[in-house]
Amino acid sequence: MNDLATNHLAVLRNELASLRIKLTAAEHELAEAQQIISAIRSGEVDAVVVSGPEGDQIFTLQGAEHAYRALVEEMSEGAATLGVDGTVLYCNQRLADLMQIPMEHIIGGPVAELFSKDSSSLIEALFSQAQEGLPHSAELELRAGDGHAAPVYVSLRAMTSLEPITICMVVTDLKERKRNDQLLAAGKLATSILESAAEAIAVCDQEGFIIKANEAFEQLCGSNPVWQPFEKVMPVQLIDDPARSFSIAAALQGDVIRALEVTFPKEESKPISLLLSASPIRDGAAVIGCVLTATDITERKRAQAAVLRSEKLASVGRMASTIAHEINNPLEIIGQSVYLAKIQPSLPEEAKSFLDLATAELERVAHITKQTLAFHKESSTATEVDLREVTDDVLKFFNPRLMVRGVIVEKRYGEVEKINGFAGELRQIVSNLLSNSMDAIDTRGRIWLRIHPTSRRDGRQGVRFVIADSGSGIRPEAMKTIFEPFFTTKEVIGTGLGLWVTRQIAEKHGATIRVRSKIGSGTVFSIDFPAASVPMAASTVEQDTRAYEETNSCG
Amino acid sequence: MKKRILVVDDEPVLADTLATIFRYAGYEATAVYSCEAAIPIIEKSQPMIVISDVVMPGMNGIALATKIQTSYPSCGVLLFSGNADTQSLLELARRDGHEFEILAKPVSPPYMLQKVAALAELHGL
Repeated sequence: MNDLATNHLAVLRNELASLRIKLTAAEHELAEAQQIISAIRSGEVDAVVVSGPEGDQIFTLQGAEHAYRALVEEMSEGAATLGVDGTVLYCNQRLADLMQIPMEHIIGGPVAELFSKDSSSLIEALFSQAQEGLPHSAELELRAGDGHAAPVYVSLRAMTSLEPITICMVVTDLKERKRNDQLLAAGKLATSILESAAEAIAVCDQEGFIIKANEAFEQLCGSNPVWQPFEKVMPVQLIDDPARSFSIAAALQGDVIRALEVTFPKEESKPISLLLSASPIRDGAAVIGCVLTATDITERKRAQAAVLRSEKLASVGRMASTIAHEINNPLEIIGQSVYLAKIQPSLPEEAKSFLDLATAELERVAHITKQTLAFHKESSTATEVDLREVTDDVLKFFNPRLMVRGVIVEKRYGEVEKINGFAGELRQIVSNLLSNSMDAIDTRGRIWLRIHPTSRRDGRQGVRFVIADSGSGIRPEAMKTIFEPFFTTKEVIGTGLGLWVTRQIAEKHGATIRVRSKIGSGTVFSIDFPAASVPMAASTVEQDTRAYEETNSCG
Repeated sequence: MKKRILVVDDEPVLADTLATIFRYAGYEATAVYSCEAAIPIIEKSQPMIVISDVVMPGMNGIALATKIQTSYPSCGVLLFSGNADTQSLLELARRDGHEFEILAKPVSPPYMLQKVAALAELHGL
């Protein structure tokens, strides 16, 4: 029994000894473990490598926390870790800032509550995907503490290496980026509008200096206008009031200037007409500049003027035909009455002289109405006309007035063929030109009349009518327009139709008309008619019209 | 026997005064104020010369002149008008083979008398 007990004791002693050894080993291991933990706590160790049957395993330890925490705290993104149930386990200060609430209010609450109503279902979907190990991100809106929604970019990722699984959330503020994007997009749009606009557009600062101008604007003013005062680059005058220059001061004081018609004088070419608008650019209440747009309306203006001119002409035509009848009948009756009074045998001699005066004046009125109101065709078919006879007829009519004004007429006629035409209309040509010469001379001067045969360019015979005067001459700038209807330098007495009618009649007769003039010396008109022996073929007329165009502006 | 003249113008004063002028000049002159009124008188009294306005309400002077040339070839016609646009009417008449001259109003009475005298001679009266 004792032996049994002794044996048992020996076994126990042995076990105790081995337990002591194990304890020592365990104590040693414990000390090592404590050492590692303290190293990890102090941040000296980031990871522990543990050898195992399946090879080395690396454990990243939470001791790294301090460095990562510092990083996470310092980064400009909001960051949080979420539990599997979606509870916020941790968040950084940046997220709290974005949320505009204290960190304590975020930690421990459900993640979905951080987001706006619109975004909460989306964050839940993201969250469940992240749980399954699929990293995901989306643009969402945070519900900030003050109630407004803040655009953010959220990415979620499950940290499967941790047990229990933790989900990491990174929140990027999009407010700044959104604004930048918007500004960028708005800027791009503005630039493309500016550049693609057909209108010339310039932007001025509050001093009236151009700070931006599109290509159309640059083309309009012919040089780079940037950093120059608008009024220097584009010194325009108001069409309605040419004495006034346009000033952008009003726009810079906050007024909107709409569709002002202005002319822009150009050095190289004719002035152009512009439709100018200006409106202030404001920053809050302050005007920080203005934007100007200019549309070239030169063509439109020109077309309008042409329409106006032809309308004027048409209305004069209509007026002429209505008035002609109304005026010519009374004139006829007056003429008849004066005639009847004049042939009364009992008429005193004194009364007769007055009636003679009335007849002469009446003839003048009749002449004027025939010349300006009606293009009256005395006969319907062209006949052979001697231009010398026609000219003498007209001269006879003008003689009294020529004498009163002290104008000497020198005429020299050669042996000329007759021309094919309408005597009445030819009379009108001669009378228009003679009356112009007389007006140019005013008093005391000379008029030379020449009619002589010519050989035309094509070798055919022609008749040249030349009238020259010692009058005031035609200004060079007026030269181009003298044949246009309603052009007149004689504002008071002129209809502006004389030379236009003359040209019409000349063209109708297949004639070419030329003019030379010198201020202070006088003017020469010469008209080349084809002789009657030359058929008035359409081609001849056409050719002559072209010849006229070539020569009509020669000074 | 006096040379008979018929004056046609829708302006009565004008027609009457012109008739008076012709009477002073020794003609037997009548005035009517429309072409429609002129036709029965021409039929009845066979005037030597008809002087007519062109543009009138109803029948115009050229239509009247055409009718006279066709129906009464011995009768001379003189047209005068205050309107500028009588060309188209003349063109139409020409297409039918009728040539007319239209004097432009106002026509001075001496010129009118001269024209009528020449026409009278042409018509052999």
